[in-house]
Amino acid sequence: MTSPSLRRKADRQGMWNLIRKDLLRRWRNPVATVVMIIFPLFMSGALGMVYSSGGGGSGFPRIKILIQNQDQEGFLANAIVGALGQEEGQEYLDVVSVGDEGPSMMEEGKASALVVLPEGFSRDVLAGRPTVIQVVRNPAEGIKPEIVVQGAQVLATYLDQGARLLGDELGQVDRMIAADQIPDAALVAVLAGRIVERIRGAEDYLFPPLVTIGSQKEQTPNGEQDTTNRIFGYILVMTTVMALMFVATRSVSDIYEERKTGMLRRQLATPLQPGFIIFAKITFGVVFGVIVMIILAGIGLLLGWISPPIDLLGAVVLTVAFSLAACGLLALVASLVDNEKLAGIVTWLLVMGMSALGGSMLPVSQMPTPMQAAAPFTVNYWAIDGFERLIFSAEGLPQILVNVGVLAAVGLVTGAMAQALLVRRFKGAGA
Amino acid sequence: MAWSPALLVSISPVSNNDPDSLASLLAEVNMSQVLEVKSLRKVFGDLTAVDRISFDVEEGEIFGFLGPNGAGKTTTISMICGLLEPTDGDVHVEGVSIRKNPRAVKRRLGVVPQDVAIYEELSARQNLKFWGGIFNLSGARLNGRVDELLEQVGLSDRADEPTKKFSGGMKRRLNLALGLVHDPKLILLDEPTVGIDPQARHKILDIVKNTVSTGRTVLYTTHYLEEAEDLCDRLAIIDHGQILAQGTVPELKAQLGEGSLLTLQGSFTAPDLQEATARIEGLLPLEIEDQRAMLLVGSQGPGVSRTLESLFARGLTFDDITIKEPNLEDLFLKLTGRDLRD
Repeated sequence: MTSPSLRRKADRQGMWNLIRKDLLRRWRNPVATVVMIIFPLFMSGALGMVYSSGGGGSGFPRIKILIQNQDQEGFLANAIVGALGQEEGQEYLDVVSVGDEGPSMMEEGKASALVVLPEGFSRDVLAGRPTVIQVVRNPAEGIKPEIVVQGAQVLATYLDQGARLLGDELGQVDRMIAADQIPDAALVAVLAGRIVERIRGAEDYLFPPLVTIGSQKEQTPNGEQDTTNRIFGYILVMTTVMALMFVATRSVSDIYEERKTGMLRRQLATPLQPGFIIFAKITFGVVFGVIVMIILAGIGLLLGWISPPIDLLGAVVLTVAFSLAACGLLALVASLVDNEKLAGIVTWLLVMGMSALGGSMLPVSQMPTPMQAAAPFTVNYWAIDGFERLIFSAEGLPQILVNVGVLAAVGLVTGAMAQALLVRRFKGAGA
Repeated sequence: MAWSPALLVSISPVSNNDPDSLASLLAEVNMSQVLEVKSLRKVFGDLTAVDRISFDVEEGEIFGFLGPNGAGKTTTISMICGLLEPTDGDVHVEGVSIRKNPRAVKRRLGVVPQDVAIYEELSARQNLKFWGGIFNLSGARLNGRVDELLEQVGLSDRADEPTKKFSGGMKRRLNLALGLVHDPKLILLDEPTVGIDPQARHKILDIVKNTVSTGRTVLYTTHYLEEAEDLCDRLAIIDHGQILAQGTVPELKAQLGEGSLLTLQGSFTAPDLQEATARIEGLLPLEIEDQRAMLLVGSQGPGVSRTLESLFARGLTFDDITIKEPNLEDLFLKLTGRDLRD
């Protein structure tokens, strides 16, 4: 072993020897690996079924909404209630008009949300006076009430803009409807013409988003199935990232296992450098993570939960970066906490905390604002965001370079710190 | 070994890029001495685990390191194989310093730890291939060596089973084979027979003897006296981190002097016996307690029968009297005042 090139070759062989040994050990004792693979599939299947059930066969989660219309005479309030009760909406919404019993029904958990249109709602909107649509959420449900709130916010935005644009004209329409006689045809024609002119003047601002939403729906012949699969796909991404954290945990905790069985001590008595052994363990974690990700992605593709085109290079690079970050962080824990049991607790808190905050348990968009602000401080957030953009937005590696960069930086910094600290410890105590 | 600057200059053009080669060439100057331990010391906080010990091991010999648990044997082994950095002193293996070139030293060593250290998920063959791979063995050479070792340790027929199914003795044999896979010059065996039955122990000792017969050198730590006497060419007796005596078994026994060991049990008190024995020339009290005593009756003294007569004459009575040849355990007792198995 004289030249640097021969030494590098020997190092590569040594690295492969260490990684192959750990892969063989996993292969010979596959239970933990199988559990790690089944976990995201089971979670995706179970949660996907929950969110996609009850839709009358449409596959989309049907949301039960109670509407308490206190503005029975108002033209706008009645229009909203009527629109929600139309056939198309019933595929997704189960809208029930209620009276004063609405709040008590909510207390009994009989609906996802109660929407209250207050008395004088239509008059206030048309007069440009502030008014409030109240939404009472069912705390026992996570996503469905949030969808109602988001929908109500969209409605409020459009009503607000519509009232500003067509306030006078809609006021006249309201009066015509309220009047107990057939309106004058000429007045109707003039009113219609003014409305058309106003809308044309604002169509550049109003119509593009509306047209976009409509056209997307028309171009997807199997849209309902796609929506269902997308729910499975999103959850698969979230839970796969969490599973990769478990993979990293198992790989890094092998340092403790090998120390306990005397294997680490034995390896340190060979020409292998301590830093090389730790580096090999982290590299194994990355390789194992990529293998698990490929298996899960393959199953996701077979089940139709995710679909091509997906930038495979981007997915692999992102997995490598994420696994590196996870292994680096967990190795840092191992380097700082010598006691195996305590390290186990700290590791568990780290993995669960990052998973909860980073979007592996609940979409970040559904979290309270303070948690959303904290999410970017987790590695899960950057991985899930990257995978979602690769899989569901058809973006490629160039678009997720920031995600890859953040994860790789975290992995390299924490991995290097862990390596230095562990080497110091091994040299001090002979492992 | 003295390393003169002139010698360094003369060989440096041959291998100026590789300190291992340089060390190897230097090592050839004194091939017979495989291991040299010089004033080795290890301190952990307030505890001096190893206190300036020195010894050397010649090529082809089994050197025993005999001492009770906690004497400093494993700490010494750990420093020799580079697991622990010495506080002071140095270790040379084939002339290469562990301080200056630990990787080169480690390449020459085969370490067999006290606790069985094997991957239980893997088969014996996979374990051996992994450890061979660490030492850059590959291909036919590795496969040949693995087959040879499996045969040697009697595991050929179970070579491809996961080792978690192995008995304790089989695991011990594999543990030993893992340290031999790269055919090291010096093998460090740290209590390789702890916790196994006599038959398995006999098998392990046979493997060690066979290994040495092929020219290897062994440093063997144990606290089993019989093993040390049976196996080792030379011995060092260690306690509290210090070497108390070293040499061949006959040399060590000679430190006790010619004579017989007299063990007495009875209703006497320690002061009475001490007073009685103080007047007998050539008698060495190894241990005197109330109701029990161990005395070495030297060949220069009055002899066993005269000694006993003197003790009876002083009114001492004994329930049990044992006379035997002294062994290493008695030497250990003489040197430390305590039993080897304490």
